[in-house]
Amino acid sequence: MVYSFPGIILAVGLIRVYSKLGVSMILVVLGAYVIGILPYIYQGTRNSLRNVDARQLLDAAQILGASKFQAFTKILLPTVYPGLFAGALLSFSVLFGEFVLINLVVGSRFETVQIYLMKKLSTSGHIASAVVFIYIVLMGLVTFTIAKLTKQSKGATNG
Amino acid sequence: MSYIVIEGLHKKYGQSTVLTNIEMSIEKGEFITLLGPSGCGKSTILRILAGLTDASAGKILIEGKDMHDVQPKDRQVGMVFQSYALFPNMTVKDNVAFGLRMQKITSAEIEQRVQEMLETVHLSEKAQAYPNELSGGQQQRVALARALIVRPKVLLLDEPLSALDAQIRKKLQADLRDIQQKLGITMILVTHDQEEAMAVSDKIFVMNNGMIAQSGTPTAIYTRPESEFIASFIGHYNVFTRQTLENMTGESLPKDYSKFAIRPEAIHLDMRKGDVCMAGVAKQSFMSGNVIRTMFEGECLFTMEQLHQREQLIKINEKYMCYVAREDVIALS
Repeated sequence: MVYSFPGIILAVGLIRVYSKLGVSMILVVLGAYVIGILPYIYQGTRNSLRNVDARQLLDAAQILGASKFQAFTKILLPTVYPGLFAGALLSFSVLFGEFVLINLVVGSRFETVQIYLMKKLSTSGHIASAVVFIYIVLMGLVTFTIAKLTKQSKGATNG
Repeated sequence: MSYIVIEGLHKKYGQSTVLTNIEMSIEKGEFITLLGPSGCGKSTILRILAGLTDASAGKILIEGKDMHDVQPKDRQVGMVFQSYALFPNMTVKDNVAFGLRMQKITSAEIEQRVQEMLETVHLSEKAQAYPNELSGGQQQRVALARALIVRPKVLLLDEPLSALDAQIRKKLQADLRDIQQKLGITMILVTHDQEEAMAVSDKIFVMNNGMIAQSGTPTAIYTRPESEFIASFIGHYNVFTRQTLENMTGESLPKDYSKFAIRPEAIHLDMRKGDVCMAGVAKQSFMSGNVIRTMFEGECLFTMEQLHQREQLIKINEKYMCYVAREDVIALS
C-alpha cells in the first residue's frame, strides 16, 4: 500500500504522527524505508526458496550431525543467497533514489546523495554533473550485478 | 534384546490418529521394509525414528538406549529422502563430506573416506559436479553415499527409488541390497511397491491405517496372507467369500472363516490328486511380461496366471475346469 501513496502524503502523515512523540526523525524514516523494501527482499528470497524443499534440506543436514543453526547457515543461507542479495541490491537502488521522504521529514540536516545533489545544483553545475555521472555509473553496476545474479540462481535451480 | 525396539508407538496430528500401537523389534544387520499404501503412516515412523517428529506416546530404543530427548544430530541414524534433498550449493564431494565435516574429522581422513564412498556408489568421476548436473539415479546414489559415510547405526530410506524409472529402480534395488550386505548395515526401507519390498528385504512389516497388518519374511507374507487387505495388496490374489467358494467347488470349507484367498498362479488346468475343482468360462486373457493372466467367470470372477507358453492354450468364451491344490486355498481371518 505504501507504493500507492505519493511520497508527500506519506511524509506529512509521518511528521504529524511522530513529531509529537519526540522520536528522532531519522529513525522514523528508517522505519518507513524498512517497510518499503520488505517486499523486494521477500520476493527475492521466496523465488530462491520456491525451487528447494527447505524443510527437507534442514532435516537432512540435522540428521547428518548439524545443529539447527549450522543447518541454517551452511545450507539454507547459501541456497537463498543469490535471491537475498539481488533483493538487497534492488532495495538499495530504490532507497538511493528516494528523495521526498528524507527531505520533508528529516530536512537537509541529514545529507543523502539526493539532498547533496539538490544543494549543489544551486551552487555549482560542474559538481552536480559529476555527481549525476557517478550516480549513473554506480546504478549501472548495480543493475548489471542483479542481472548476473538472477541468471546464476536460475542456472543453479534448473534440472 | 533387539538392536532397535519400538514399543507402543502412537502418533496423533490434532484429532486424526496416524499411528496406533506400533510394536517392532529389529535385529542388527537386518533389511526391514515398511510396506503399505500411501498415507498409512509408514513415513511417519521413519521421521519419529530420526527424531524429526515427536511421537505422541511410546518408546524407541536404539542399542538399548532410549531415544526420547535425543536430538536428530546425536542419534547416529542416516536418512535418504524421496526427493534426495541434496544440498544444491555444494558439489557431490562436499555433499558426501558434509556429515564428516560436522564431526570435526581431519581433512586428510575426510578426503580418503569420501573417495572410498564415491567408488562404492560408482560416482568417482562426478565428484566435482553439482547435484543439478546429475541424473535422478546418480543423485540418489549421492544421497545414499552421503548418508552411509557417517557409518550410521541404522539407515532410513524414505521411498528412495519411487521417483526413478523402472529400469534404474531395479538396478538400484540390487545395488542397495549389495551395499547393505557388504557393510552389514541395518536398513529400514519405506515403500508402497510390493515387488520392491519382496526383492530386497529380510523382513516386511505391512501397514494399513496406521497399524501393522502383518509382519514376516517376504515368503511368509506372500504365501500366507492373514487378512483380505494383505491378500489384495501383496499380489493379485483372488479373494472369495466362503459361500461363493463352496458353491463353486462343491466342497465344504471351515466355518470359522468368512473369506478365502487363492493365488492366481496356484490355479492350473491339469487335474492333480486331491485338487479342488472349479468351473469357469474364459473371458479375457492378456500378457504382462512372461505371465499370461486370464480372467474366468464362474460363480464369480477369478484370475489365473501361467508362465508364457509357446502356444496359447486358452480359448476365449470356452468353459474350463480349473484346479487348485487344497493347501493353496488360504483362509483369511
